[in-house]
Amino acid sequence: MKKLILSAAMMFAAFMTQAAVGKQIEEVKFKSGEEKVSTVVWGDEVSPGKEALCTITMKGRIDLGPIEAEVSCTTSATTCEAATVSAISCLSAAMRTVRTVIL
Amino acid sequence: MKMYILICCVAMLGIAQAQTTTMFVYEGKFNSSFGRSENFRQFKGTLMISGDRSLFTMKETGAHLASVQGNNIDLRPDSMFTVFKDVESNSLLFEFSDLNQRTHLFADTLFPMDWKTSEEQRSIGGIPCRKAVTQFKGRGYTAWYAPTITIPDGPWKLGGLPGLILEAYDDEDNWHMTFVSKQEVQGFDQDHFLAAMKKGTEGFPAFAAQVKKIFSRLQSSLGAQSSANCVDCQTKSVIKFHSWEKID
Repeated sequence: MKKLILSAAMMFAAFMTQAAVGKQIEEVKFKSGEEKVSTVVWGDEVSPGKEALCTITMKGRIDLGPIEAEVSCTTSATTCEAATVSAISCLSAAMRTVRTVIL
Repeated sequence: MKMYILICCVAMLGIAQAQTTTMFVYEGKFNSSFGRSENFRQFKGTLMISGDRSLFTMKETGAHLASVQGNNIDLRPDSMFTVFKDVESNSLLFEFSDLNQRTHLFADTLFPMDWKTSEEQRSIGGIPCRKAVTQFKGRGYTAWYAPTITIPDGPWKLGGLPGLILEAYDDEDNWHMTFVSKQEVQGFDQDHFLAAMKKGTEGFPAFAAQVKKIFSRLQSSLGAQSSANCVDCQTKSVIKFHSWEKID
């Protein structure tokens, strides 16, 4: 039980540290690479206002071997918690949609 | 009668030679994120050569070394980079697996690479090799070929050098194949490819069109969904497509 409380406290502390920094947190850091095919942007553009303190990016991949599609959702919000929840929700919905298309 | 027996023997010898298939085994890796992140998998490549025809394919082995975890949909086929070549008819067919994991065959130009050979030498599996480099469909490749094995073939679509390619890799080392052994085998099933060649197979532009169609399908399905469910949040959703071979 103590271990569980300690783990939860550590996770909360780590989360608060990231939130305090207020910078973009990426699930995966990608090196800059040449776009071999095309880039298509969908959804609403982010233009963080003064109140947006935290930006979160979540990424997912559809791997076909020699070709790959990469889906990313970037959310800005006043708190990192809200941004994370929204980015996860966006990516989950996107990947669900892809699965629907495939099946 | 003696003449007849002699002709039969020569004909049978010819048939036996034509059926001899040598399998060159390669080991290597492929990064399916092509340098944007590390997503390496180990592969075993086989290049089966029978007369003027050959079949190359790569199957995954060993550990998957990835920095990308979760949120992935893996639709990779069991065999990748599968290429059938027929030097006699100057033909090359390659396989492509779509979103529904159906495989399609497309034709491509046989050995269009403009190789630049150098004096650099090294030994691979005890076989002396020479270095050659080329640019092909948006990527730079290095090949080490064996002038003593006078087969102008190699892994995947690569070939056209005065010797078999025993090692090949791209400039960023995302794909790497190295020869490890060879053995005589029974042969390989060519009927599927020969039937496709006879029927007539669409070329690389048709492959590019199919890939773009898949991307368009994904793009439209993702574009149709609603985005963020948070009132204060601003969300930007991006879908990017990447292809090993430059297709535009």
